[in-house]
Amino acid sequence: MAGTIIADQIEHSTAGSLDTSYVVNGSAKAWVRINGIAATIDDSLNCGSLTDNGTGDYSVARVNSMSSADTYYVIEGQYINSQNTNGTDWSGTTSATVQYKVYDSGARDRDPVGYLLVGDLA
Amino acid sequence: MSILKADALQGKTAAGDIDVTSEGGAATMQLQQGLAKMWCLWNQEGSVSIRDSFNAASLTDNGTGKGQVNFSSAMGNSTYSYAGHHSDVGGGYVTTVINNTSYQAVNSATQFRVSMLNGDGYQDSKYCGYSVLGDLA
Repeated sequence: MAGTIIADQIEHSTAGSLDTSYVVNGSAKAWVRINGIAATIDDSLNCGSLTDNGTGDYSVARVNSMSSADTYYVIEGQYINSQNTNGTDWSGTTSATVQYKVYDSGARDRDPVGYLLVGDLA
Repeated sequence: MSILKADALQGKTAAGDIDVTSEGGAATMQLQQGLAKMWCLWNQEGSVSIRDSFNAASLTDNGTGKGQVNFSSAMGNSTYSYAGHHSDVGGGYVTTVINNTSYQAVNSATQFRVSMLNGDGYQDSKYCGYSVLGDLA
């Protein structure tokens, strides 16, 4: 590491100040945009390889583990031709299972599927 | 308490790369990559208006249920990730459409487009909230 600054607060000259805990705790710890049709990752943070588990079902490995499986997440997928729901099952601290389903016709591969994860890194 | 007073933060080795230590101390992550590059809560119903936002310059009303947030600072590409939802005002299932040509919801580096449906019809929602994560230009 080239240099380290240790501070409890960051202060801007005009825009106010912020505890650095908000920077650490308030930052996304993982996000990914998945091409569910090709089963590839378009872009991501803290996500390693993607495994295609089947239609609308993917596993995404994390680079850095979370401290707990109880993390907040949001996921969105592309609409197709019916009424949709999105589901994500973060089954552990080191990997995730991302599933995309349609209410009336089951799992679907879609492009793109995006997700955001907020919580504590290990 | 120690306070760092600065108007800008910049990496020493690479200007766009500042690492922060994780909560548990076991890892470091890049500060820039974990920050939302845009978030916006807006009213899509009637005269569209931004309720609160970051890096959202304006809205464009593309018709009933078709929202567009124009970025103040552009993204580096159009393949950024996103998250969010809009409220259900009519009952039934609420559907978000992103990156779909048929529904005029294709994103670009300068704008985030979303179409909102309730069932199979377009619907304006009073509370639309989305965030964008990825690389700024």
